[in-house]
Amino acid sequence: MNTANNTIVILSIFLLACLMLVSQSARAGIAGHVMFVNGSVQITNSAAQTRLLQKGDVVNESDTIITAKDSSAQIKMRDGGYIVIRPDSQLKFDSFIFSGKEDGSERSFFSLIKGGIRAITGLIGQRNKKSYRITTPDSTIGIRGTDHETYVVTADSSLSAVAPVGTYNKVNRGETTITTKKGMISVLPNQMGFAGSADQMPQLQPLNLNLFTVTPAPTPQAKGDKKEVAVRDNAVVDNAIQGHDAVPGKTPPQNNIKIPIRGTTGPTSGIVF
Amino acid sequence: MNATNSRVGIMLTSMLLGLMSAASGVHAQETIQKSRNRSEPVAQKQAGNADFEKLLSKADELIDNGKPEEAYKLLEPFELKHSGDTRFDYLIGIAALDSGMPDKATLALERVLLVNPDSAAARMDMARAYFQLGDILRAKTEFARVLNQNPSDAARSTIQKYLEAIAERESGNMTHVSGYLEGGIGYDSNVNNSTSQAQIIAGGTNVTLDPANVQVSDIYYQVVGGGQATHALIPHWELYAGADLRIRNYRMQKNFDALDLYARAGVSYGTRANQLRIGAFGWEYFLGGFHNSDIGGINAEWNHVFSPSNQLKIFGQNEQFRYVDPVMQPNDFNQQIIGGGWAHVLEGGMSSLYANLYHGMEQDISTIITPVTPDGGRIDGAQRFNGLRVGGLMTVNDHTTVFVNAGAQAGDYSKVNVFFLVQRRDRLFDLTLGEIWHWDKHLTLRPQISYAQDISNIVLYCFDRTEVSLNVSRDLR
Repeated sequence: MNTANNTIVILSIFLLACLMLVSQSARAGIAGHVMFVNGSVQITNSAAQTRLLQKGDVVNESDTIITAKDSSAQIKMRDGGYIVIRPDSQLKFDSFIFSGKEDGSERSFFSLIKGGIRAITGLIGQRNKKSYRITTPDSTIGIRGTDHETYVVTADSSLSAVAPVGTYNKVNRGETTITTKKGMISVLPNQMGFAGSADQMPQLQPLNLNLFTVTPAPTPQAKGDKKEVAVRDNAVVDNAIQGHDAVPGKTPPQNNIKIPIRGTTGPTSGIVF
Repeated sequence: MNATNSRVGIMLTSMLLGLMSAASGVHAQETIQKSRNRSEPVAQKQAGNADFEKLLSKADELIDNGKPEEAYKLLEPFELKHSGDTRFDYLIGIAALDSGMPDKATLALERVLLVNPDSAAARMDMARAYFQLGDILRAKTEFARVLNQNPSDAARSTIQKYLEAIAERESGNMTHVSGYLEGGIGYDSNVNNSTSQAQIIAGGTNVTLDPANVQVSDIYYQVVGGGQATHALIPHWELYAGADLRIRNYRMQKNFDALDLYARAGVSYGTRANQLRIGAFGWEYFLGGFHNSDIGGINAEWNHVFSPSNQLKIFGQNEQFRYVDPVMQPNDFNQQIIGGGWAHVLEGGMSSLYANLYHGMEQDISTIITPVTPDGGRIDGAQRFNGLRVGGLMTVNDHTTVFVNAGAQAGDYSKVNVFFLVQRRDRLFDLTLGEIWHWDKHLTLRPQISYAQDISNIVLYCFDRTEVSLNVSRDLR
């Protein structure tokens, strides 16, 4: 009986330890939540189980998200960042560790196998740049900034019709690096870096709008020939284009010199009665 | 021992169950939430809908009232829940854009356009957001698409300004020149800023003032022209130079015909959030056909953009004011001004308000000795003054903008005036109201009325002045 009881205790301790580990990894491994899904998007977990991705779903470390053609998804990351997965893409959340602050243990590593993503980084990577990384078949993207877009054009991708095979990285804000076996380049805002293969030095290229125009064009019916469409005629940001700051009344300079009192005769005091 | 082992076993089993439940909790929460959603009673759903409508309505109101930051803070906690709803996404998109977060704006507006690619409103703001991000190619693409969707004339005009700015950036032109020409006619109730009293008491006796120092009114015409050139040096750094010439001629009071030439040059440094400008300026002033005075100085201004709707300004200026006529030279002075201001854009960019506070000092520096200034300097001595300027601008419709500017300044002088036996104290007030009517893209008509008053403890300096004018202005770009 003693032996049986001891066995129960040992077994319980073992299971307890296992579950503690499972519990820890489950908590540490939540990368973010699905904010928006458009079209057909699938998620495959580390156990190779695949299901359709839905708004509100949890995305865990080791999950892979696959978007169909004309489909996309937006993920809100636990560190406050955002990941947008473009159509016909495959992104794996390799590793995501975040305790709620930048304490050196945080990590946000992705593999972009094909297609495109946009990443607006959150807390991870703000101080420790090495804690954020995107790996592609040709290169590694590192960040020194906040907002960038990356495309991997593969031979079997529909994008190969509009851009050579390789990795493209465009920066909206901040700075990123593209590294291959041959070296590393920095990409600054509104520049596009390109890595043709792991054996080629990355280079800056003119922006390829075939890759980086992400909004669908209006339908032919939307051409408002008959009726005016409603838009905001004025926005506060238009001040930047109006050639003046927000301070009104920038008219030609007004004479603010008080006209001095003058006379034709009188003493030399400057004040004339 | 058996009992102890059993208790330990039960305790561990219970902990085991607890941990199992904790481990599955993360996934369970989601399942529970979904099942909750499924079983949510109709009444609860209706209440939820009402709350949602209230949220959108409140956010819309905040944006309309020029509080996009507050609107974003209100909406952001609900982004996970409501993203995908085009009304929510559009509102959080424009709240982010107007709060200076174009990156987050593009994410939200992208969602709107994926669901409804025909939304011209979302596309217009998407184009603005791309422009704010400096992504002029995508901005150009989206603006062109909006133009094809038949927006209003006012929106077309805004888009055109963006496209012109984009074309300029694309041309790689490092130098930008702009100018204006303006002509106007007006009525001036007090051409010489003088008191209305022809007789005053000074030195204990009645004094009859020279007619040139008594208020007189007249009608006038004026021509104003100017230009500015900027040249980009390296990223963020720019040289600037500009000049303005103003000629005002009165119908009868030729002694008060005025011509002034103002020139400036300097260097500016600008990033998205900060602009610093340091320069020098010179001003020549002619009165009644005679060279009256010169001003020269340096100034600096720092603008900090908290968000597109909120800007802080700190400024400073040091100048030397010198009369040309030796008779007037005892009045020469140096002046320093420091100040700060706030500008706020509201109602989605349709209106803006500003307020500037400043403090200034004037030193009377003349060494000319006269019977009334045995130690040199001005008869009233040095001056310290404090002032406040406030104003606003409101776009009424596609063609009309109204503006108002008002100021108040209190100045105290250091010496006792030998004629009036008091230390001079001036309280200056002014108010200008006007309307800018946009005739076409480059031509504007500006009727305005202004009133200024100096309430001084020395009657000689008291005056009030009203000006009514109509000006036609042409932008030269």
